[in-house]
Amino acid sequence: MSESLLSLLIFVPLIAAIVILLLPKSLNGSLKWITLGTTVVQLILSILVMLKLDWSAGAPVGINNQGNFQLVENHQWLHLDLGTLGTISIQYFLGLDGLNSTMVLLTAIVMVIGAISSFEISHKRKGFFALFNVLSATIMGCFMALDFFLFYLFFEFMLLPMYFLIGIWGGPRREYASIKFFIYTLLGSIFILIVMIGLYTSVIDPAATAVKIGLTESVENVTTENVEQVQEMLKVDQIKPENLVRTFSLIAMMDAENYIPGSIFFKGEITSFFGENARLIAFLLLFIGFAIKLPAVPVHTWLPDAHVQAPTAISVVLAGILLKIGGYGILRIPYSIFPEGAIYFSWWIGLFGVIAIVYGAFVALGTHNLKKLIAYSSVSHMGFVMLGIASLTTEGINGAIYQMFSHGIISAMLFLVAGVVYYRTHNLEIENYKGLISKMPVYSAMVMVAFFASLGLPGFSGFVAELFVFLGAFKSESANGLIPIWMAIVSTLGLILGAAYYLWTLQRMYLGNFWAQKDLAVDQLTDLSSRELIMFVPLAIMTIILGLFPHLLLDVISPSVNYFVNFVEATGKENLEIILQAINK
Amino acid sequence: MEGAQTNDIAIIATGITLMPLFSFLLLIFFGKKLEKKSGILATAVLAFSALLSLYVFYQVWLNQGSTLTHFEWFSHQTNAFVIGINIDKLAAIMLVVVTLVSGLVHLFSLVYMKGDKNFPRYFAYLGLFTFSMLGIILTNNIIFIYIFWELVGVSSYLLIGFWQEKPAALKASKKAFLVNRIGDAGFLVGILSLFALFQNTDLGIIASKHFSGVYAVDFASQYLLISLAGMGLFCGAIGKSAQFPLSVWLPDAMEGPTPVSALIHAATMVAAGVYMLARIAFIFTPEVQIVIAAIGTITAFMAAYAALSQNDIKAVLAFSTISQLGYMVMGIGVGTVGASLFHLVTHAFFKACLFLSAGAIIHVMHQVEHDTKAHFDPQDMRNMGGLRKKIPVVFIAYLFSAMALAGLPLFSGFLSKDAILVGAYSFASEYGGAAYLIPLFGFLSALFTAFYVGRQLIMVFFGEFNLEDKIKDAGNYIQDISWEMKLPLVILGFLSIGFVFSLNPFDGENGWLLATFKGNLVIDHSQKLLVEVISASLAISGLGLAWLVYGNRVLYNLKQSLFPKSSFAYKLSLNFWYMDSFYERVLVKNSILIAEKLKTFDLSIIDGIVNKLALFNVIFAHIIAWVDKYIVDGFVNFMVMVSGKTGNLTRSFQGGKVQSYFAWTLFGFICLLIYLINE
Repeated sequence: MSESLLSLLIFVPLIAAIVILLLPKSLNGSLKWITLGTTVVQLILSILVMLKLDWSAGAPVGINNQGNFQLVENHQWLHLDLGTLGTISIQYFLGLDGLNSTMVLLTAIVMVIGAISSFEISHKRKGFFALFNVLSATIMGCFMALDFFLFYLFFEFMLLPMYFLIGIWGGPRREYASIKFFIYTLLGSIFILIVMIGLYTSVIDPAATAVKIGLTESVENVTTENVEQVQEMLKVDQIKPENLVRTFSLIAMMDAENYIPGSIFFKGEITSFFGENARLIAFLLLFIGFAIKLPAVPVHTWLPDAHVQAPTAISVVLAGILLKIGGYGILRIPYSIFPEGAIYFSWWIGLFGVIAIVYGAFVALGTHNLKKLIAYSSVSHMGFVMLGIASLTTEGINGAIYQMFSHGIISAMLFLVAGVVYYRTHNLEIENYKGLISKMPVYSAMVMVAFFASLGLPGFSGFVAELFVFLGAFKSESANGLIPIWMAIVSTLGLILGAAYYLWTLQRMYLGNFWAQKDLAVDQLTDLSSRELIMFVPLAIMTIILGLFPHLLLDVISPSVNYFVNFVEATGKENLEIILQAINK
Repeated sequence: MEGAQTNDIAIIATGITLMPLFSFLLLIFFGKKLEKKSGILATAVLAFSALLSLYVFYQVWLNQGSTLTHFEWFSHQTNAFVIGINIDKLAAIMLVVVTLVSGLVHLFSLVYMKGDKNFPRYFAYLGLFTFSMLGIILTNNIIFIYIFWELVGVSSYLLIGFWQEKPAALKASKKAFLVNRIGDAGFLVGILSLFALFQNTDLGIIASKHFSGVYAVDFASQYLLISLAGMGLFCGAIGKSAQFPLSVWLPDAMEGPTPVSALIHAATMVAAGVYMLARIAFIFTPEVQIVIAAIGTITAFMAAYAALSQNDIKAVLAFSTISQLGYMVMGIGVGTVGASLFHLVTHAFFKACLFLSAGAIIHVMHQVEHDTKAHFDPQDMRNMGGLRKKIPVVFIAYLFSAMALAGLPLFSGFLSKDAILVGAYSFASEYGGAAYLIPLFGFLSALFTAFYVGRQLIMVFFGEFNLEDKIKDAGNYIQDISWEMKLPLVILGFLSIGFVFSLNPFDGENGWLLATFKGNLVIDHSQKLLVEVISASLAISGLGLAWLVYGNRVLYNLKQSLFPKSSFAYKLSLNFWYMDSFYERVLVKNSILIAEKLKTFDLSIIDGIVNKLALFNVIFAHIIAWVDKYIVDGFVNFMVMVSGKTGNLTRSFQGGKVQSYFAWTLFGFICLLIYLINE
């Protein structure tokens, strides 16, 4: 079983979805329990995965070496011989390293919370829970896939359940929100798709090619000498086109030796694309594709709408996990495959990070809807992810990943905070409430924990994450010269504004003497039910634990990140040199 | 000498720190069940940790046992994030100050907060505060200082807004946190600069690297980063210690319960800024030092001036606190760190005493308000007067601590304030020119201080009980306070006496405390004598002047005609230089305006463009659909018609069967494919 742990993470919810569809209508009441059970199984599996992984010193770190991933599952999936066009090879290729293993855990945690929150769904339950499980499977797949095609498949497929979950079970403007979400993300995927096809035409799988040209018997027997031999032959154009085995493997794409000379993304060539270097353009396209998901300003406007309209459970999943695919994708794909872009565009990425931090916080300060405020605070917090990534320092990227995890936990809490009120009164205007603490003391205590955690109070996970991002962003100028000091300094504005909008909300909505707008169902404003409390308490405990003991996550993340930073910086600077020289000629 | 015994001290000190945390956790979760016992429990915990602190103090001061113990928080690459527990003499005395004042405030609060519906929560918050404050004192890592720094900020937020049914209290708590956050953003930048410079955040390592000139950045940016570090850390102190221009939160913070004001907003938390500056003072460049000295002087003067006209008993003390903190900051700036720390300690005791006395007075006035069923402001000094006969213990305690604040010889404040002024004077004589403004304004503020102290003393304790003008026989309703309130006043009042700190009441330099803190600083004795004479005479004349204006009222009319209530000078003082309304108008309003504007921008411009694009796409799609329907489809239909005709021709060999249509299509498709691939 341990060889296929990762597959189980994907297929358990898929099977659950099928079971849910097949169950007779009379069993509709049990659907939520099946879903909850599935997510709990998933959580247990992901904890098993975390325990199985080797995080001791000197353990394999992944990133650009297939052998260094853990719990790898690599199967030939599609293998089409196209004659002179060579061979298409698509693999079912899963594996974990420090970039994605914490994300898998986060997904499992948030999905459990999402499942409990879904108990509120009262109509068309069958469809909802089936789609919820499909969503869960695709997210897991997305985080674990190491084959670009497989990744893209999950990435695209995720849209479908999300579209329906918002569009059918959402608020009054759900159609608009869901179509907006769909089109926005689809736009991003098209950018990614373009580059993926380009990459596919450029990259070969040296091992499979070695087999094809008869250097060795089978893929299992391929030695590093064989691979080097193939790469040498590729350079001098000794391999016939029909013997080239093309691949979607992300790992193969990270090695410059695997690029076919003369192909669009071959780094030695100055292949231009509308007068720009094709590799830099490819980086930009991929980056934008994922930045939409993150979301970065100015491509963020799908997020407030999607959040405000989505049912609570879906908001929780959306903010808690889906946004992280953007951040994770940036690290795994554009940064690893086109590292020169990471160097070349770092200033701009940093700038957009700073803009997101400050802009998101200001807009949050200006909104009057609780859920919208939280959505914009997400934009602001994801800006920290971008800033940390842009700095390309170990502190910055550790911080970015920590921030993704921490924000996953905290934003799940925040959207539950909004969900509790919405469930009771269907109204989230901040001005309509005052002094909720006197009616709902336990709830208000949880609100305080969530708000203080989100505004980066020490003792909560957000502080550790933001501190690391700041450390990285600030030292970048002296360490690797990528982003200037002022970016870190301006970003501190986000801390001040964050405190401002949260404390102002606390003052206006939760503290003081009770008052509510008279059209509202005031008698519905009861304190947390035990089901709601069960969702809040573990999240609150987790954000505190991760605030006090950062090593729990950092030990998992940082070995890979250290390797990643060296790899991206070294290859990036080297490649950029070649490109710039070529341009100057 | 080191070794086992000193390690014991580290363990004891950690225990002292953790006990209030334990009290916090216990009361937050089980407070409801414990009810009244919760207060007693918390007080007992604090009393115990105060006793242990005294033991640590004794060990460290008498047995010379400074100790430094490290715990690893987590490691990241080569940087281990280590918590250093540092117990030197400074930390040991701060330990005593914090636990003692906190313990006394706990005791005082048992009566003061009696009957409050959130009684257990109040003590829980006090525990959280004490824990965080002790954390600041003991840790030797700037990140941990920042962590505890934020936590005291939160406890302060919770306690200022404790009476959350008062909208003013809620506003004040939010303001305090936000204004502090502004300073903390600077603090963070300071930490980041230190980290960039030294790749470490341990103060011991930073100091040794700094002194041996080992930096992780190139030479060109070294000085800039060191200055940035100094300025950034100072920003943090500006916020926490309520210095200009971030002083505005402290007067509002008086909305919290008065014992809280005594503990947090007078004796300990606000002094944390000064303490942090003292710990990190080695990093300050001369430019930064001048900025610090200037800010301290400006603050001392502005706040002292504002205190002159306040009628609220706590407001006077709040402005006085800001002003005294200004002195301490001034002392750091001019390089007499020891004097600042000395003033920090003396001020902690006498100002806590003043606030608790004010609390006792308010408590008494409250009872009068309650018993007479009348409505008046129990904090307004114009309602008081003649209270010395009614509550003599409070009067004596107040008198002692007020004289210390005024800087009268024989009292503690004289020794410490004097030491700062001596430093300021020698700083000025070294730099010359404009630097003389620092001692000059220092002296002027000393005069103001003595005057407002005298004014308050007279308004509250002398003359007749003014409330009786409004309410008949109100004086008869005054009851003396209970022992839980008296004891803290007596202890703190005693600690305001100069002899406690120096056997020679005119010379703090050789007193046990300052002699240790001042280090090797050489003091010019002729300057010292001059400064002493000036400040003593200023204190006496300030008090005298107050007596002439408010006591026997000889000069009262003169004062009224010089500074009528309509005069700008009076209003400037009453409104604290209009700083609040300036911020309200410039900063707050504009921030919200920007926020609203950006929100509209987001909605109408960014999202507008997106929607326009979508609309364009829809229109485009309609055009395509039209083309599709009438042109493409038309063409297809035409083709169908044509193929229909030709079909009739070929029908003969097709046999008219649907299956064969399909077969032919597939066959045709395959032919096409083969043709294409071979091309």
